[in-house]
Amino acid sequence: MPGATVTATNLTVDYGTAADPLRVLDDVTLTVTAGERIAITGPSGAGKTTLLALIGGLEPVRAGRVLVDEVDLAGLSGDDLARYRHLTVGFVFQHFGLLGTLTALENVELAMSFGGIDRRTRRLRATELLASVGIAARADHRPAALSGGEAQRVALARALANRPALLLADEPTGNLDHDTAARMLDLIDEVAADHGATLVTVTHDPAVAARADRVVRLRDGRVVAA
Amino acid sequence: MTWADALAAAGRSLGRRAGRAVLTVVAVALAAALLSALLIISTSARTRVLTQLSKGGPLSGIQVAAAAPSATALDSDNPRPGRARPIDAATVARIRAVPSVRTVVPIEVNPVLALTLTGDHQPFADRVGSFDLRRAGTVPVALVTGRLPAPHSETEVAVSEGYLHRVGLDKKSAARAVGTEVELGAPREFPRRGGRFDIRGRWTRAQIVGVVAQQVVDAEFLASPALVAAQRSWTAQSVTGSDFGLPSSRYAALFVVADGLARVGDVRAAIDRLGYSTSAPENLIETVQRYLHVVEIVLAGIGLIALAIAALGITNALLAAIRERRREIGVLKAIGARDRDVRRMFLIEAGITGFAGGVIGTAIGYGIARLLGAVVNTYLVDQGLRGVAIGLPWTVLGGGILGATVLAVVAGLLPAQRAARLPARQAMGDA
Repeated sequence: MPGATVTATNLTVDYGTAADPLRVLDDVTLTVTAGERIAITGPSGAGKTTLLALIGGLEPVRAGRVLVDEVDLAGLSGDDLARYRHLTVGFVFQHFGLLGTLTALENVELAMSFGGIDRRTRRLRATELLASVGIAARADHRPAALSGGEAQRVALARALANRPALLLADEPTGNLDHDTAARMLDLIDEVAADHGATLVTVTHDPAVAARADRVVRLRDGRVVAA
Repeated sequence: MTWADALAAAGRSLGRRAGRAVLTVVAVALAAALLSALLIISTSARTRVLTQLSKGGPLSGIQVAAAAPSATALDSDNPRPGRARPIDAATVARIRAVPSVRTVVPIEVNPVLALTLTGDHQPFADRVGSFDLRRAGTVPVALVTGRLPAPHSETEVAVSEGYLHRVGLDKKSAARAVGTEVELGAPREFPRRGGRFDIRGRWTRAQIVGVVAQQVVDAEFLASPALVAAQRSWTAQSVTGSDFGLPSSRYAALFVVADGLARVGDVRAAIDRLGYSTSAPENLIETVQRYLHVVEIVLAGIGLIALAIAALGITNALLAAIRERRREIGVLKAIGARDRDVRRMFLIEAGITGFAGGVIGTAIGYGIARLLGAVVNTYLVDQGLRGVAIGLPWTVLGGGILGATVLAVVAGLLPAQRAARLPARQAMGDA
C-alpha cells in the first residue's frame, strides 16, 4: 500500500477544566506527503504525543481537521475509527505495548485478528514479518523473555501486520540503549521504505530527528518550525 | 475478532492473574455450592415427604375400593367405603375410559393360612395380594428392604410390617426376614358325609425376598399374579360357596393414576359417578406441597444471596483488572479492536469465571448434600425408616452451572462496558 498523505488543519486541543483550561495544541497546521518521513520534536508538554494521537485516530478530533488520504478523521467514530486504526495505521510505542500473555508471534497475529483474517494466514504472515525484522528465532518467546531491542522489533512487526499506509512511532528508541536504538532506527527506515509507508516519529532525540526528511518542532502546542 | 480469539484472549488473561482468578472462582464456587446443596437437600426432602404421603406410589394415585362410594367420598382423603360392590373387567374398562386416567392397575387378593418355616410361630390366617409387578412404580408400595418378587415367580413373596411383628421382628431388623421361607396355604372346602365339610389347603412354599412398608389391600403378603391366581382358583372351588373372606369379584381393588395431581379430583368424581368408592391423599399432598414450596423459596433465596455476593466479587476483580490493564486495552484499540471486541473479551472472562465456579460449586454442593444425606440416613435407618436418596436433579445441575455463568456475565457487564469505553489514547499512557 502506498504511503498516506496527512493534512492537519487548525488543530486545537484543550484539556483541563473550564476554570483551569490547558491548551495542548493550538491551531496546528501540518502536511505530510505520501511516503515522507517526518520527525516531531519539542520539549515535554509541547503536544507531540497528542498530535500523534490525533493523526493515529487514538483521540477524536474536536477542533480543526485531519485528513488522511481524503478521509476526514473528525467524521469517523466508533467502529469506523477502529477500522481506520486497524487498516491504515501502524503504531510503535516507546513502551512496546506488547501483551505479556502472548508470544512474539501471537502479538503480531493479534493485530490481524480484528480484520477477519483466518488463523492460518495470520500465522503465516506473522512468521514472515518476524523474519523480516530479524527475530524469527524468538517467535515463541513472551515479551518478558525478550530484550528491549527484541521487544521493539516485535512491536514493529506488529505495526506492519496490516500493511499500514501510515507508520506512527512514539519515542521508538526511548527505552533502548544507543547501539540498539541505532539499529532499530535503521530497521524502521528500511521497513517503512519497503512498505512505502509514511513515517511520523515523535522524539526528543536530535539524532532520531536528524534521520527524518523533515523535522516539525512544537512548543507550547504550536508549530514553531516545519 | 472472532469468539474463538476472544475466548483464547480471555483465558490467557485469567491465566496471567491466576491468583485473583482462583480466588474469584472459589467465591463463585462456594456460593454455587451453597445454593446447589440447599436445593438438592430440599428437593430430596420434598421427594421423601411426598413419597411418604403417597406411600411410594405416584402423587396422582387413587385407590378404588370394591365398594360403593360414601357420602363424603370426594371431600375426604380417606373416606369410609360404602357397601361392597364387585370390580370386574368391565369396571376396569370403564374406568380406563375416564378422561385424564393414565393407567389402571387391578389388585387381586386371596385368603391364605401362613406357616413360617423359621422359629416357633403359630400359623395365622391372612391374605396374599398381587398386581402386575412390572408396574410396581405405579402402585403405592414402598420397599423397606430387599426387593419385590419377580413378576412371574410362584416361589417368591414380599411381606409387610405386620408379618415382621408376627415373627418377632421390627422395622430395624426387617432385613433378617429376607431369605427366610414361609408356606402359604389357600383354603378350600370339600364335602364330607353327614353334610359336613373338610378344609384342605393348596400349599405354596415361598421365599421372602423383601419387606414392604404398606399392605396391599390389607394383605400381609405380596406375590406375583400367577401365584395369587393359582391360589384363588383353588379357593373359589369351595363346594359351599364359603368365601373365606374371598372377594366376590375378581379384583379386590384398583389403583388408578391420573394425569397429574390437578386431575385427581375430576377422576375421583368420575369414578364416584360410576358407583365406586375412592381414596387419595390429594388434599394433604397439595397442602404439604405448598409448605415445601415456601421452604424451597427461602433456601433458594439464601443461596442466591450468596451468589449475588460472589457476583460482586467478580465485578470487583474485573474492575481491578481493568485498572491494571488500561494501557493494554488502549493498545488493543490502537491495533484495531472495536469497543465490542474489548467488551466481549471481558464478558467472556467473567463467563469463564462463573462457569468454572458453577461447575466446581455444584460438584461441591452435591458432595455436601450427599454427606448430609448420609448423616440423615443413619438416623432414619436407625429409626427403622427408609433413607433419603440424594440425587443430582438436572434442574439443579443445569441451574447451578448456567445460573452462576449468567450471573457472572451480568456481574461483568459494568466492568466490560467500562473497559470498552476506555479511550484508545490509553495506549500511550495517561498523557
